Amino acid sequence: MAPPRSQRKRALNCTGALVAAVGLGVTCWYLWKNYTGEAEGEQRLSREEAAESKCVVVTPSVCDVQNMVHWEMLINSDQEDIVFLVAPGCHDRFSSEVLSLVDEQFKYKAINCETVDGIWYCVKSLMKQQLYVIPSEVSNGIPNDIARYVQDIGQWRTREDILVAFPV
Amino acid sequence: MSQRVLREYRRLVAAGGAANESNLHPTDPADLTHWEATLEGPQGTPYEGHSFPLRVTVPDKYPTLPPSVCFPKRTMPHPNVKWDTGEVCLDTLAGGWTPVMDLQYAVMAVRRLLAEPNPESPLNLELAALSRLGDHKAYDGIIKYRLAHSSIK
Amino acid sequence: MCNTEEHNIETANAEDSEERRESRAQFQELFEQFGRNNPQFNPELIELFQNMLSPLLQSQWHPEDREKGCSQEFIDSLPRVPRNKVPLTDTCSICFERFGNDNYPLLAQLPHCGHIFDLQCISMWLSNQVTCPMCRDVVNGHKVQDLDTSKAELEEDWGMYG
Repeated sequence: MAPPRSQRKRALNCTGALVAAVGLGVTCWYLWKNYTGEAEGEQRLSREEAAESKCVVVTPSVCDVQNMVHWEMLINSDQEDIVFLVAPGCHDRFSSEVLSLVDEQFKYKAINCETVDGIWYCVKSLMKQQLYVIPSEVSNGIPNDIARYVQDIGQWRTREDILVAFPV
Repeated sequence: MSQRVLREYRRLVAAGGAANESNLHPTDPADLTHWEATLEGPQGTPYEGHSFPLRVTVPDKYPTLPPSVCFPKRTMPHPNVKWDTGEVCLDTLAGGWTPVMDLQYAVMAVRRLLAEPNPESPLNLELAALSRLGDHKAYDGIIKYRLAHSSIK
Repeated sequence: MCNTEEHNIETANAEDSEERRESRAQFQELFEQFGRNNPQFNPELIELFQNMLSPLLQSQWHPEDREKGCSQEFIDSLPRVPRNKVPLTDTCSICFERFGNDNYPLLAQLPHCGHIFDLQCISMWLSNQVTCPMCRDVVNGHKVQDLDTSKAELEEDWGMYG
């Protein structure tokens, strides 16, 4: 004798519910996999961004800490995206104390500026992520619009501030 | 005016390499719309020692209209070149163009521009400002930085 | 000419001052006084004004003067050059083709500077410009007595090659 209609209907309903459940499960698994994949990707990006590009305005105190920081090690490294803008009056000192220790192929990372305005045009042109400067050692301080051209400005007040940013 | 560009091509071929120091040539001789050249950085400029590819496009109404000339993007740091696009601002290629000029003349005009920037019509504002300011060390330094930095990538 | 000029013009318009409006009015008067369609037409002065103003400012301050090119009447009136007056090895400096390649070359000569081109080539150029491609002489800006009368001989041959 064939099963009664109500039993057949119940069986169909169960099968349908099972199929729906499996489908939902697969969808959830797929979405979760994508989500964690994206998170991993984001983490990778963050690690790359951590090696941020830097721009250092070289004034007398920056030259003073050469014996501790050893700027030439940063310049000689092709892992470091760093540029030095040497203020008027510091060209000879930075050249003799730092650039003399730099490989020829990396010397382009130091740019001598003959004018203070020139320093800021260089900052704007290069658009590095991080700017380091001692405002008290640059006449007229930092121009108001510089923040549009860099992500962060590290304003050093003392030599100790430099050592915090670039630990020995 | 496509006959005109064909005659230019024939003249270039006939004159030989010595007369074509920028190696101006069509990308595909069967289609004379797109040309390429290589500019050597002029001596005494921060471009010295570097070679720069140049792209030339011939419009339908050439030579009534000037050719369009540009560098590949992010290869030419210059006051009259837009860094991100390679677009060149040069009067010879715009209002100063006449149909008696030719593609080689246009390419040579761009090469002259490397040694003689025009701070009055800048496409790279900071380099133009450094040039106007007379801060030659900074001007040269930025150009050399760009040329060295981009070649590393 | 380049995008930065448009940016500069927008900025300038935003800061339009009384002084700028006065200067603009003065330039407009000068263009009207010495412009092309006037008895006092002075092409050298107009060229001087044009050099003083960027092309975009010109088109803003005096749009009528931006009407480019020579009239069709002027182009049609260009003196024709008979075949035997020109070495056939000479080339048209616009299309680079030898004059002699055509059995019946139609050549035209600019009346003031005397430069010779294929009629078709120079017509195309002058439909949008007013200067000689070789020497940039303003072709339609000269009084009749400034023209070299020795060229009148050429005009006698008009009918033969027109």
